Amino acid sequence: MSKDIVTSLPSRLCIVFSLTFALAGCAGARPELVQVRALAAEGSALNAFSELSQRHLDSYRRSRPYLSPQQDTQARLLAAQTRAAHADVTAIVQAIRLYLRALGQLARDDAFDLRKELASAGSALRAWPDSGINDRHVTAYATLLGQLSRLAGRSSQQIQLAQVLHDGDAPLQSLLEALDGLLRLYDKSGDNERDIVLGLLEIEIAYTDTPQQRLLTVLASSLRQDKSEEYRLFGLRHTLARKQLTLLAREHGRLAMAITNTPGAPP
Amino acid sequence: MMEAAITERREAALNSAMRVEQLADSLSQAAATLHGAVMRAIRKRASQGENGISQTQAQAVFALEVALRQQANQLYADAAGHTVEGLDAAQRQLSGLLDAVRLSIARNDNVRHWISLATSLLNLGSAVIAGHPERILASVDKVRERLQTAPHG
Repeated sequence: MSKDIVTSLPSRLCIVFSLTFALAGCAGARPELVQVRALAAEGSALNAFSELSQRHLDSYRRSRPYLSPQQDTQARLLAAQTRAAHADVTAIVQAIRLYLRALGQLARDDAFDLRKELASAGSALRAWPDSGINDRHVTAYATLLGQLSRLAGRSSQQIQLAQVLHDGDAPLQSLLEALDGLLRLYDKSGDNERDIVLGLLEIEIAYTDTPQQRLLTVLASSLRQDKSEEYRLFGLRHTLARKQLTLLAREHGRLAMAITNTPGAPP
Repeated sequence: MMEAAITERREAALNSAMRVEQLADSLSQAAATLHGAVMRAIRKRASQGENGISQTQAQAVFALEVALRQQANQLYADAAGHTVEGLDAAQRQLSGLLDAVRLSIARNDNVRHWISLATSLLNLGSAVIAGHPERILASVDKVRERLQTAPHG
C-alpha cells in the first residue's frame, strides 16, 4: 500500500483530528435520551395498578363480616378464582416493568459512550514519536478505533433505541390496555362490594330506632360514614390510576414516533 | 399467518370480555333499582303502620340485592379472565426485546474493552520506542490485565 502516505505527519495528524471530531460529536445534551429515561423511571402508573389489584384481591376479607353464611360461600369461591387469576396479572405488570427498566438502561448517557476510551486512544496515538517505525500498526489501530466508534457510538444507540421503542410499542399498548380494562372491572366490582357493605348498614340502621339502641345507631352510622369515605377515595384512585396508564401508553407511543422520525434512525 | 391467528384470538377474548361485562353491568343496575325500591318502602313504613315493610322482609329483599351483586362480581371476574387471555404473545415480544437490549449493551461493553486493549498496546509500543523501562513494565502489566479480563464471545 502507499506507505509514504500513511507514515507522513499530515496523515497522522489527520487521524488524530478525526478521532477528536468523533469525540466532539458525542458531546451535547440529548433530549430524546432524557425523555426515554423519564418514561422508564415513571413507576407511578404501575405502582398504582399493583396497589389497586392487591385491594381487589382483598375484597373478600373486607366484605366477609357483612355476609350471610350462604353469601359467604359464594364470595369465598370468587375469592379463590381471583387469587388464581392474580398470577397472570402480576406477570403482565412484571413484563412491563422489566421492559421499561431495559429501555432506561439503553437510554443511559454512558451506555454507548466511548468518549473516555477514545480519548485515551487519541493521546496514545499522539504519544507515538514520528520515527516511522511500526506506523502501519498505528494506522491500523486508528482505523479500527474509527470503525468501532461508529459501530457502538451515539448513532448506534439512537438506532437501537428507535428499534426497541418501535418493536415494543404494539405489545406494550396491548398490555397497558389490558391493565386499564382490569382496573375498570376492579372498580365496578369494588362498587358492588361498597353497595353490599353500605347497603347492609343502611337497612339495619333504619330498623335500629328504639332509645335502647341509641349507642348501636351511633356506632353503625359512624362506621357507615368512614366506609363511605374509604370507598369514595378508592373510586378516585381508580380513575387516577387509569389516567396514569393512559399517559404512559401515550408517551411511549409518542417517543416511538419521535425517535423513529429523527434523522439517522431507521423506520 | 401466526400473527393473524394471535390477533384474532385476542379480539375474540376482548369481545367475550365486553359481552360478559355488559351483562354484569345490567345485574348491578338491577341491584341498584332493587335497593332504591326497598329504601323507599322503609321510609314510607312510618306512615303505613302495620302495612309497612317489616325488617325481615327488607332483609329478604336485600339478600336478593346482594345475590345480584355477587353474581355481577362473578361475571366481572370472568371478564377479567378474558381480558388477560391471549396476551402471552405480547408478553413474549416484550421479553424478546429485553434479550436484544442485553445483547446490545454487552456488545458495546466488548467494543469498549477492545478499544482499551488497543490503547494499552499503543502505550506499550510508544514506551518501547521511547526507551522508558518503567513505562514498558507498567504497560505490559496493563495489557496482561486487560487480556485476562477479555470478554468471551
